[in-house]
Amino acid sequence: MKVVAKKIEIPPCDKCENISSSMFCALPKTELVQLSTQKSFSIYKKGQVIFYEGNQPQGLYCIYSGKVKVHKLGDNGKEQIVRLAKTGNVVGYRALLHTDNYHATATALEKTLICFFPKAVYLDLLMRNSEFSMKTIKVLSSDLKIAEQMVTNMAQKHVRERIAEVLLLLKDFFGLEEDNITINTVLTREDIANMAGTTTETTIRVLSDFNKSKIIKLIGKKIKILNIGELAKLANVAE
Amino acid sequence: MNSINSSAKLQFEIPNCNQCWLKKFSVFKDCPKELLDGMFANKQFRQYEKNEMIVRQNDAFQGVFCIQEGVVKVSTFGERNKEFILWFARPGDIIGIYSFVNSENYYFNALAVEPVKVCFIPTNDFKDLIKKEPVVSRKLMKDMCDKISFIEDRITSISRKKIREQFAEILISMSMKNKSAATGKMPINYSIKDLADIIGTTKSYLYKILSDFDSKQVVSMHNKKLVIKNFDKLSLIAIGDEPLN
Repeated sequence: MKVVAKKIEIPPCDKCENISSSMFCALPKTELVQLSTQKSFSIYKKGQVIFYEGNQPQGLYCIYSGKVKVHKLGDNGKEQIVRLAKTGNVVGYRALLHTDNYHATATALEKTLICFFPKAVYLDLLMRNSEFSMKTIKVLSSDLKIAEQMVTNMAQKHVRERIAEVLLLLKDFFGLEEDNITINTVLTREDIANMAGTTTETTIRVLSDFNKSKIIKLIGKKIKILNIGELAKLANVAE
Repeated sequence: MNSINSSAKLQFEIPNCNQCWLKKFSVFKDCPKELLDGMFANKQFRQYEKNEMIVRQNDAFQGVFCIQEGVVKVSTFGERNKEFILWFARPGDIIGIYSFVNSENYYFNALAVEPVKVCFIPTNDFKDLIKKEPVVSRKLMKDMCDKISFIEDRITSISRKKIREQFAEILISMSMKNKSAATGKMPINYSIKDLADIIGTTKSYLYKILSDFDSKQVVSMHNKKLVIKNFDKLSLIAIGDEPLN
């Protein structure tokens, strides 16, 4: 299932350009060099699953480039996206910390390069390095806060507000392309629906509604934000 | 914040963390005795009346609260100033732990649902302990993972479930947490209003569902106590697989 890299080379951890944005930034250089010797590396194609909900975790996935969605299946078999991850983020670390099976499935949203660290290496690092564990707790607490915000919004906001909010979240998380208005990601309508917790049909309707009132512009799967103020108002973000 | 603190009277002697019966349930479970002894010299013991605020949203962060006795409601206010309950903290739980990492303001309200006794631990003491003792930080991480998983489950269930399915699920998860679950009785420290705020619906709607559950002999209410009469049926409702009759 995994495609072994032939031409693409990944730098060792101490020379990785994403190091400052990752949870490994607290580590000294010697540790990083040692860490690099333990890692392996794979390429995932768009739509390929990195790990499945319910499986046992074997290690930590650190995203070198690309985008990943983390999603759960509800009781009725519908998908809910609970988290997105991009370059420099790690996925699958919570199951390791908790010595539990994966709580969610991770799928590549586009071609994604991922470094893999075996379980033992990561856990050992946690026990030895208190700076690193502080950093991990920080990452956890920000994850928790995002999740809590999401659940509050989900419970209290209407569909239109939630979809507007998802667009803002995508813009903040993935950033904009060079033209400064296009969201730097190609999520399907279904993905957007699964983030906002609604149906694909409703999402398409609401998006084209936004399109009509010139708040966003839809070009194929790409979304351009034309009027950010209005979008924030729609999302009811108090700022 | 200060006005709240002063109203919380010092009455009992501060319990020693090592002798605390809750130690084995808390993050300090495997913490070595010597470390715990010196660590909480600045610990304060506080008491709150029912319905007294312990923490207010956006207060400056001062420390964490370890609950000794009673139940604390932890909630946030959404954009329309509508309350949403994140979780209920019980004896052995620590609140404020997540604000401590980034030393930012508290982002939630904590309210005593019943008379509550807490130990207040100032930030620095707690930080030192975590840095010094990997066992504690591992346990802390585990607890945080639990909490995140719980919330992600809630997200999935909120977006995909009907209110009545969610209500059934909440009732089940609360009865599991309670020790009296064996008898099938669940003391309701939570008002119907609270339950409605957990799910994000209205009180009157929950009463409607409750009377429906009552007529189907699934859950009934006696003297402010909810009694789960048919656990299997309730589980079926929770997963959206309710039998028609």
